[in-house]
Amino acid sequence: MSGRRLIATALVLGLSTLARAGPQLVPPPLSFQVTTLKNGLRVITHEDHSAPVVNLQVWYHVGSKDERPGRTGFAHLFEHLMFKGSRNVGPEEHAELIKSIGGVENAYTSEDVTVYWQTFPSHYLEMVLWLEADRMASLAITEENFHAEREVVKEERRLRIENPPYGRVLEVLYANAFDVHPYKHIVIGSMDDLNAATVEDVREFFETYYVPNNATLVIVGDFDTRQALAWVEKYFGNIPRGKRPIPRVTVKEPPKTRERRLTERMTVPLPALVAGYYMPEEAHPDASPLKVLSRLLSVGQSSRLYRKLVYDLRIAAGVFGMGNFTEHPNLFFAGAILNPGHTPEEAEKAIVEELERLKTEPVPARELEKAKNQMLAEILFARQSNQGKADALGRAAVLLKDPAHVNADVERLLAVTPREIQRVARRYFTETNRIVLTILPQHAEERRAIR
Amino acid sequence: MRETMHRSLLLLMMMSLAGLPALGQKQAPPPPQPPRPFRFPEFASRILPNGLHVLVIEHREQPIVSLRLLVRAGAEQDPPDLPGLASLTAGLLDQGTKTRSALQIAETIESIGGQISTGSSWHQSFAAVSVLTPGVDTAFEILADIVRNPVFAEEEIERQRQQLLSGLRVQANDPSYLASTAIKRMIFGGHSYGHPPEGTLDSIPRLRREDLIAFHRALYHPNNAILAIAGDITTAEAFAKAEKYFGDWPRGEVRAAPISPPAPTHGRKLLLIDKPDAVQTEIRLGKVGIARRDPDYFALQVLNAVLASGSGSRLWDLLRRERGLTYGVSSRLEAYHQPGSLTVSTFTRTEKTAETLRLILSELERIARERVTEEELQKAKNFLAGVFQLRLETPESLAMIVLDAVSHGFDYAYLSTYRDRLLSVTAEQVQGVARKYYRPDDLAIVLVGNASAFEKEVAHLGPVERIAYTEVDFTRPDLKREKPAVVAATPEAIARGREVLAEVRRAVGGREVIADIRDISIVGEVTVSTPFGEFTGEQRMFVQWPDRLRTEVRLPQMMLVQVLNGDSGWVSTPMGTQDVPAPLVKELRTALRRLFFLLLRAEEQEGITVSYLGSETVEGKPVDVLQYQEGEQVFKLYVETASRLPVKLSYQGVDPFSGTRAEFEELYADYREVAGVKYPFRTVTRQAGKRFAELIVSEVRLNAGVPEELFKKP
Repeated sequence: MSGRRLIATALVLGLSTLARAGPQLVPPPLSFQVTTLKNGLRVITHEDHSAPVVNLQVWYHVGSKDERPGRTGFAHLFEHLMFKGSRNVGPEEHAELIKSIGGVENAYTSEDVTVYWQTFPSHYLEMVLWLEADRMASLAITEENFHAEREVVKEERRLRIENPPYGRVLEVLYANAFDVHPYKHIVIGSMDDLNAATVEDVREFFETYYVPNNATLVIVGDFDTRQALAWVEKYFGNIPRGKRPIPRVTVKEPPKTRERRLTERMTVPLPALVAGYYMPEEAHPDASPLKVLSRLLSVGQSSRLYRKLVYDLRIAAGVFGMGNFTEHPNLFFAGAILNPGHTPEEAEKAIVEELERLKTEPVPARELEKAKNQMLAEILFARQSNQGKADALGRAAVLLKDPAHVNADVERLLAVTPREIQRVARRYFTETNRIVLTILPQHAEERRAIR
Repeated sequence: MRETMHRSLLLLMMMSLAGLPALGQKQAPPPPQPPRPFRFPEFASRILPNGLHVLVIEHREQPIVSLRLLVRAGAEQDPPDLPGLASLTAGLLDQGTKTRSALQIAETIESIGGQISTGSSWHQSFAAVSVLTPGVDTAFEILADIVRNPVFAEEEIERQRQQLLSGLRVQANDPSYLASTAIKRMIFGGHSYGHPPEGTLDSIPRLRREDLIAFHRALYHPNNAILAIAGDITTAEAFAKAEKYFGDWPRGEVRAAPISPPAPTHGRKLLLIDKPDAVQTEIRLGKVGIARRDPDYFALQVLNAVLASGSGSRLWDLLRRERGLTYGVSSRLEAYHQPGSLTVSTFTRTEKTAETLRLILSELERIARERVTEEELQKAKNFLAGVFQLRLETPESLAMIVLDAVSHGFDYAYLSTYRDRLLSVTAEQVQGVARKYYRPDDLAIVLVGNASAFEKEVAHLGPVERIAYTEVDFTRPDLKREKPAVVAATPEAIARGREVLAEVRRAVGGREVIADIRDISIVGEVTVSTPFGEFTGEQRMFVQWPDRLRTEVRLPQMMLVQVLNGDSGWVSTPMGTQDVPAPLVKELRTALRRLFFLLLRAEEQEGITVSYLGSETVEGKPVDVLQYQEGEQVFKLYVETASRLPVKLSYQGVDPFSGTRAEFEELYADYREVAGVKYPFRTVTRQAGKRFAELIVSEVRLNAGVPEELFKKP
């Protein structure tokens, strides 16, 4: 055997939580261990023997923002290709193997990362590590299955973006909100770019980004850490580091000095309005108050936007208000789908009034506590499963650059004050810092005129 | 064979693409380790003096406590004519109690970061609350309140009814839903297990508040319930809180309908549900299976997994891998207190319907004949053991497993040996149950699709019945919607019908004026109740004698148009303009015939027979009833005896949101004179007794000229 080549093992226990006055619950920290192989593969492990189950995830630090111009949608297309087989595994065999042992598996692509995950009975851990290592080490792609899978992805774009009413709203919003940063295109990409992709691009992308020094392996559940790390070493240890430096997006979107407004006609049954405000990246200290704020505004029937637009004024059929927290600065958007008989102007006025209220009136203690309770519950309910824990660890390690964020961010969230909420509302919810998109239905009459 | 060739080709491609060194054999994945040691978590059990069975499962990792209360009040207790009663009753538990409104309950749970849910299955209804540990008393208090003191407020019933109906309306068009629901009726017929537990488009409107209250009174008692407490709480504390919050819930008399075993499936029968626009056929095969406590349970589960549990299982490989006939195929064992069902489900392209069905039948024959291989057996058992293991992860799902076992009369020993029992099933046992349960001659088969395309090809497989999907009524054991009763028209009834119609014409304004109508324009304000809420808009209607009708509804920023133009029709919405399919054209034509003035000119229209049915009362006033019959279409016009003015029209129409048939009534009121004719300026349309639409007319014009272009498709 090649012997142990684990070079850095650091046992990191969660940061000790400060006792806090009041009924607030002190959440138990999530413990974890970080190990880095010589080839740069980072491994995060957390043992939990309460059920004979393991969740294993591979996080590749590459997403749609890393795509080169003219190849939008490629990161997601590539995610599909990772199921088409590798040196020792036939097409779709990976997924079928997981299912055949009663496990579940899937993958997803965001602006910043591509994640492959599976939950399975714990005595199959070695097999799953072998499967993931095989597709990190080698990729088997033919012109034929490349073209077939591209059609699948194009169908997904039709299904999710082009056909549903309002499916294109975010695509239009982002295309107009960002001038230079690659967040200007959405993850699924454009049809033209998907059509332009080649097998050559596949190989280049694989060699550049699907390398151990750009990956984080997260293992949570019923296993022995020493044994698991030995298997990791055995199957991943020989995969060479990438030959070239990993390109990173460095371009920054310049601050905006003027409000942007646009109106689009779409095939939708009812008009809608979206206001997008530029906000910082997830690792920024302002992200926590902004997360609390998005909870206050739009989660649940007692949230502020729901109460005002749907319940009291009855001008909207539905409302939303949330930040898209990513590795680089992104948008906080608030919006509504109007009820028949009401105009986007009414919705804009009502939404802006609610945002202004956040600047002028401190959030009452009870409302803030309720929002925090809900957010804490959401975090802890998720942590009942191995998958929830692995999600949180992977996100902290890759997007926030340090797995310790998994505990620090909970504390940060619980420490948010009414004053901070006022401060971030004043800082980001300004007229010059926003883009307003109005969506109007195409009238039957107009369609006739266009013909 | 094909597979091997495919693989070696792939290897060559890989070498050139991924730049791998020359390679020899493909490596096989490492085998599994021996299963890791695992003991099913212990749980404590106690019965309170009032009969409430309490279970506690300690699980201290996260600061969360989950409560789940089961009441033996499941869908099996729905009265035959009221499918959906158990489900609606459970759905309303958290929608208001004697001391808390629906909003207060939601707000209380939300503010402590909790979750609340209620629902029902075949044998039980449940209410569940999960909270962060500091909120545990609130959780107990709310759970006890919603189970013991629900008020079933009318407006909340109405809200849920509308939600249920809008869901069912969507499903009524979904071939997969139609097939899965119909196969249960085919298997169980009039037995309680045959009805759709979520209710039907016909039963949901019938459920009244009194039905819910009576159901709750009959079954929601502590001596008919089990409470599971799981998570971050000690056993002693959990029992103490159960006693504190549920101890004074008085014992009651449980009035449950006894459920007898369903009759076993004998012979083969096919049901074709015709949906002419379908390009795929949904296929279901099924029969009566076994009860949950049957000793064959584990062997039959393994057999099911051998048949269809993804890649490597028989039907999967046969239908998908080898022939590409389907994307998915599954085999399901549902074991209830009494024998439940065994079903195989798949779908395929219309033209492959008969081939796919034949292949499934031959595979069922083969599995009874040939013993499963050791490899198949092992694979199936690993799959089932894995599925079971994955369910042990969270305290909530653990609690559900324990509750399910306890409610079927099993104990801890059963759960702690569950995995071993699965793994000890032998090939002989599998073959034994295959012979016993999978006789392809005793099967119910449902095919939902374009029936004309495959009816002949499947006819030799057994007796075939065919129903149009619009005519399916899941409330009825034979699935057939009751046809509107047609009273055979005697010459006397026809003569009398003519007389009454002539009297109506005289009362309205005279035969000549009515016979002279060539076109009609009507403008008014219409209010429609839809699954998305109530909408009010302007409605314009244009009729050109004899076969053109245009209806426009204008909502702010939006216009909807529906046109019948002789033999064709089209609709236009903000989403586009489309031709309407032939069956809908027929519907539009019928809709035209139901218009007020056209009813009065029935004799001029070929094929319609008007006859006199007798007298009745409508809202306390005597009326004469006329039957209009044209083929299968029947409607009734109610004419007030005193004034000779029509007051009501009733018919079976098409629900615009589901495409299925429903009972409609139009109530005419506010007669005013226009160009020498009386016309009802207010029409209320009711569907299944509920207000569906209301039209307030502001202007009626006769023979004012209606331009041809209005009917042409843009």
